[in-house]
Amino acid sequence: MYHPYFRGKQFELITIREMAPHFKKAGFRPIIEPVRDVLSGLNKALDAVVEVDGRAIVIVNPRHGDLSDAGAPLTDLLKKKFLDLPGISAGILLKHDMSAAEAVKCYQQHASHSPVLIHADFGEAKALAEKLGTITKDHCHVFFDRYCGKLYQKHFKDGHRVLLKDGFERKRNRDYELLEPFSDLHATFEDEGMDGFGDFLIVGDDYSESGGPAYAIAIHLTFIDPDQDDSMWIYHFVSERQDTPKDPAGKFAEALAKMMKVLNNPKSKVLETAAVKEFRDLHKQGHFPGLGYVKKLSMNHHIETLADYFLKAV
Amino acid sequence: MRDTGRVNKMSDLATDQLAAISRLFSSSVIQEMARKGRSPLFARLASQSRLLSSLSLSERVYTLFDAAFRLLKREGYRHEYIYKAALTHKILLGKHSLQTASMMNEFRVGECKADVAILNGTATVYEVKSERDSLTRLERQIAAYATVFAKVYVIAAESHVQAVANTVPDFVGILRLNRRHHISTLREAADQPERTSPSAIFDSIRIAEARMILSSLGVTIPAVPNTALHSVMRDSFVKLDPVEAHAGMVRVLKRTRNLLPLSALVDQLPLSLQTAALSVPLRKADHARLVAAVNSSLQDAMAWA
Repeated sequence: MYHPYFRGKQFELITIREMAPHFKKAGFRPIIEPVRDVLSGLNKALDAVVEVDGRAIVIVNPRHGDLSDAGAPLTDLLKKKFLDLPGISAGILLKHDMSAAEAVKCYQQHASHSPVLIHADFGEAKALAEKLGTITKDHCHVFFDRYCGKLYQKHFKDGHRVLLKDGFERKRNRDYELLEPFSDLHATFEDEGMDGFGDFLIVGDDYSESGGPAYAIAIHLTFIDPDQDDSMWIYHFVSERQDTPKDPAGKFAEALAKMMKVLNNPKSKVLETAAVKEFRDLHKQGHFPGLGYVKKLSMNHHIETLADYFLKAV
Repeated sequence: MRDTGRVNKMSDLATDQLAAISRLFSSSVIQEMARKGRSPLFARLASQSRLLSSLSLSERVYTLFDAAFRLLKREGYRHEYIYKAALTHKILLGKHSLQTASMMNEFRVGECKADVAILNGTATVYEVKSERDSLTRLERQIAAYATVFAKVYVIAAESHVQAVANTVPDFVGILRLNRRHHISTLREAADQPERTSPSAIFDSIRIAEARMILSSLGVTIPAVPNTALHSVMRDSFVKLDPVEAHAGMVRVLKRTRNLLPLSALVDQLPLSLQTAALSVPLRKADHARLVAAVNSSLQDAMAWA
């Protein structure tokens, strides 16, 4: 099923916290790559997942951000509090600078934490598969589509396989078209021989620590189109003014007005989620809650939309 | 010309070497040293600068900055940083002080960024045209700065002075950085706050600063949702008299861009680094770390890489 991949910045962690009940209900399993050395946000997000008896994968050796080479406090938090819980799995990120032997060592260290191997730009698939021995459906393997081709994946074909594909194309905000295709993996992952799929929501796989001042403000909103084989599309609502870094609040209002026009069209296919309701309220009040909050609403909406799709299918 | 060996060595400074030496004074190096107490970038640039051969590894990091600075001061190699340093020392800290004046760097006006602006009783902008700069953007820059600053100067290399005089309007002052690193005034700038434009001022400052200026002038800002605040304030601001708006900008930005909290730090840094420290946002908690890094031995610093 769905494995949304989060780089655990502040608002990503809040999304996880708020969406935990949706994850549980729809059987979604977020993958969290912690990137902040302040761990309270991660702690609260995982508390929320545990609270509803949900599942999550936490990467114990993150690649990005503050924790990329100093993971001791993270390891402490995970070991003492979370990894022994049945819903929480240790995610092991397989990177280009890792050998098969190191990967297996890390896997064995976390043997009691229902470990999940997350294949990024790792180079020794064959050696790893041999060292792991017999692979069964109890072994979960997550593949970054951009690094792992079919031949790579084949080494792990008897495992529980999840394909991660970035549907979000990051551009400068001013360069977005209003409407672009996002992904159809939610409708096709089984045809691809996968047991699950994942994406990077509306954030994308390109990690950036901070943007500079934004010249244009963009709000991203996804929807599933039943008239086009349930493929997923994304709207980018971009502010009118794009020539100075000033007045983000006013530019947000411009982008939001464009969204309202689309939502209020009777033919709109955007699901009226709790997040959309909040966008409507912000429009009514003329209030700008900050860019992080806006990103959170877009992520929440994306998750609610996919949860609705899978719950309807049952 | 006592030290001819050294002159020869410098006359064939390679481009990459010169670039490395200039980058030593970039905000990234200062920021790394301040935040982490060590700067891998410094170590890399130091080795690319090829200055280490003339120094002993037991000497301190600041001696390398000083050596780099001396090099950049030589005619033909003069980098923008040298001009900014001259403005800092001769004007900000010389004629004025951090008590009475403030300095802003890379201050955005429309699509241009003013190199240096100094606020004391009035607001003065300085556009640097070093021997390595071209004059192509000068006209556009001057036109933009004239809408925000009562006084506009160009500080230029000897080789540019005539062309600058031919290009800029009469109200623009012209300064020259001479061989001995002194600033000579070729023409004084006219002080004309009435020439400025409240809308250009509004678009260059922060929203909180505009609010302070408006409320200090007794203009009340209606309670509106935050998405409308900017345009409501802009509407009020553009109605101000230019002289009033300019005076408000000087008064408020002297406070909001005050550099006095940096004065203790500046006193602990070598002359070569003072301008860099005044140009980069630094947290108070990082000051001691920066001073310690600058006083590390070069031996230790080369291990930062």
